[in-house]
Amino acid sequence: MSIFENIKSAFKNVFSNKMRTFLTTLGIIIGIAAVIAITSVGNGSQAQITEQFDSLGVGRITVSLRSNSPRNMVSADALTYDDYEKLKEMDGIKSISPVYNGSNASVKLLDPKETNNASITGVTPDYQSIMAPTMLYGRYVSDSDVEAKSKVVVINDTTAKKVFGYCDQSVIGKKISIKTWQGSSKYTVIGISENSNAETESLYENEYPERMVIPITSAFRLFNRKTLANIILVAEDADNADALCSAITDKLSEIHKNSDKYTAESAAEQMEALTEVTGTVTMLISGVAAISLIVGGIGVMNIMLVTVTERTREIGIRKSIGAKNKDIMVQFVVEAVILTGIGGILGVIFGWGFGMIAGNIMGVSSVVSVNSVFMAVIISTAIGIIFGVYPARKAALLDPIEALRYE
Amino acid sequence: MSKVMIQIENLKKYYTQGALQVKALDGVSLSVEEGEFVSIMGSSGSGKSTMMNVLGCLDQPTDGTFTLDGIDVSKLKDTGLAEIRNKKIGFVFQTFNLLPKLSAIENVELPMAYSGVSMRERHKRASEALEKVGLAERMRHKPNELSGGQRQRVAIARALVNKPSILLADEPTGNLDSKSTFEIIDIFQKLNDEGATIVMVTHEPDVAQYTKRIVTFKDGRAVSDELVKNRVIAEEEMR
Repeated sequence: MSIFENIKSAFKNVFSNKMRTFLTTLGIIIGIAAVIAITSVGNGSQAQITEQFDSLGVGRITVSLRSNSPRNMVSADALTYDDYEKLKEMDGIKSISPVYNGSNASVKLLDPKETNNASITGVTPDYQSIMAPTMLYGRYVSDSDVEAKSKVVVINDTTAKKVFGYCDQSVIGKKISIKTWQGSSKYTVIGISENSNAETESLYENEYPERMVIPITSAFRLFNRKTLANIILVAEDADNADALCSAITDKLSEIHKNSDKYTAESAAEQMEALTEVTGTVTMLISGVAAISLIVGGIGVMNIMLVTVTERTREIGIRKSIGAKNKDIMVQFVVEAVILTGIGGILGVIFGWGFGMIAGNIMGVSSVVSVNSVFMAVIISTAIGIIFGVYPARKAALLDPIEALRYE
Repeated sequence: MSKVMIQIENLKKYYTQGALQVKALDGVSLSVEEGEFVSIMGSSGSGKSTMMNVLGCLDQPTDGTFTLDGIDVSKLKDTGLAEIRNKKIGFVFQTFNLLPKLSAIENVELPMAYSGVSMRERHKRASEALEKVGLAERMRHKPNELSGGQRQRVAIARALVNKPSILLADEPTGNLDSKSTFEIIDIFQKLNDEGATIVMVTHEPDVAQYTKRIVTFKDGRAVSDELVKNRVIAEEEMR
């Protein structure tokens, strides 16, 4: 009896009792559906995370004072422009920029009576290549701007509309009034970049500050401080980022004569950490799914034992006309595999559906990978074999005379 | 002298039932030649059913030898016995023992499925066998759509399809009315005329009169073995 014939007759038997087949395979369906749904949502969010980090630049390294260090009190530890200049000399760095973050400033809007908070970032020209903003009009901060401490500013299109009422080429060269606790000063707009968060910000009109980029030296003058929030850089070789990170922190400790005060983190590391969390959640739910699959497998074994008993006479007849023990064994294992296989296929379909629904609710795209479908097929087949062997063996070893007598 | 199909010597089959030892067969010797039509008679408990199981290679004797068509089957294990059942023996049972979910022709094809005959060949041989028993018209029907006599004819077709050395029939007419009984016996007689070796278990002396030789069993032994003198021909009876 060929395997094809066994499969055909197994389908016949399995479909002759549809309700029983469905109930039997329910455990497998739930288990496989859970695995497919989880991995599809997991794959989707993984793809999203990767995409986000790609847009941020995976090779990017952020150097900062450890957050648990009292950064304002012990000013000797704080990162300075000198540190930036020394790090700039190091090998393996493609581009590097100091970052000053000033948030206690405000900017006058179109209506002279209205102002909004401003988040001002002081940088050097390298910052452009590191962050890669999309420039709409004008230019970015230049070396001469830094040298001259020019009062120039790069704003985004959202800010342009709020401050000037429109956003086009003619905004370049206009002045913006920035106010700090020291007083207000006028900055000339030299460039307009695209606001990459426009979609989110549009939901909360004025909750977000106006983000502006000015030369680092101008920022020191505007806020009258010289400490940096962090130093941001891109390694020449992304694979070498880890080595570069430790070289940088060593260098900084040497300069400041302290130890373990600085961190240099690459985006890749942050992504790894995040991936690990998603991985743990996936593992956990897969564990639950595995239990469901085992319970489902036991269900299949149970119904196969019932089937063997019900069909004792059939087994006797088959043996009397020449079926070998092996033939009977194969027949029932195939039937068990068909059962779990059907469960696996239904599980993939349901899991795909659940994944789409869950993805929609969570705002993540769900991706059913070929791998997970392949895995589901292998797992359900394996369950069929594992839990089908015992009943099939029982059938194969039946005594033909006893089996023929069975009523 | 024609070829010896069944050669049994001092065959014994003992069972233990609880503390009791049952001697189902207690030293039977029997020889059946090619082309014979033998009926085995005896009351229940005489050992004729056990004899049938051993002849059908469903059971192994405790002691003694059994040679079937030149093969010593008393030493064979499960797989070897299954092969003998498949190729050398055609079984016809009292209760037909057809698979209810399969059509007549699928039932007839089944023994060939276990001997690795190609699908096309199977279909051809199964159709021929069904034609021979007069069921060509009904080969697509399921057993529950056939009468008792027709079911038994399907069973005979199934028994013949692998061209066995012997045909074993266990009370083949036990569940049939007299008309169907004649039809079935007629088929057996015609098969025998064509050279088939048939061994039939029956407890009806009338039925035994259609065969050529009657072996009577009692308490696990063959107590008489005689040729039928006035053999009845079923075809003539039916007229």
